[in-house]
Amino acid sequence: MEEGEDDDLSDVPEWQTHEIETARAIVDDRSGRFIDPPDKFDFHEYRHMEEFIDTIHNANVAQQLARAIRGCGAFRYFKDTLAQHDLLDDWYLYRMEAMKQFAIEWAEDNDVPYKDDLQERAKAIRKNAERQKR
Amino acid sequence: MDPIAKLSDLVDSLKFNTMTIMPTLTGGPRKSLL
Repeated sequence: MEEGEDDDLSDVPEWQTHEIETARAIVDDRSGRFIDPPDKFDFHEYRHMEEFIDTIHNANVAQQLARAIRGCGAFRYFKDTLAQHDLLDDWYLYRMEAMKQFAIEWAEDNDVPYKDDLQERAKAIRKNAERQKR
Repeated sequence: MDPIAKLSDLVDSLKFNTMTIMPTLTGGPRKSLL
């Protein structure tokens, strides 16, 4: 906050005061108390797509997927090819597990306490996969 | 009790460009802003 700027929160609706205080704590932080979370550029999804392809037993499908991720539009072609072979949910589960492992490593490396609340999400993906196969 | 980060939020941050900020164990009381 700039010097002389009004830091009185009396005009602010009550539901916003906590958020504003928190935002100020972040902006004023010089101690390293707050850090940026990892983002999509830290997690190399493409590499995980390649690893997922290695888990596919059907050589023909694996070949199609490997072709799909070459060149422009790799992510789109990859998903389209997965959908053609009813493998989208398998991929989503695989990716979630890879992201979970990445997130745990990141949290531990940065001393960020965490809790695992991903069971419900995994259950929802599995349920969806079962419904599609019926 | 200190709030702690949820893995679901961390996983989502890997899918999108988020502006969330994580607390650390090192600098005083912690707050989860996720």
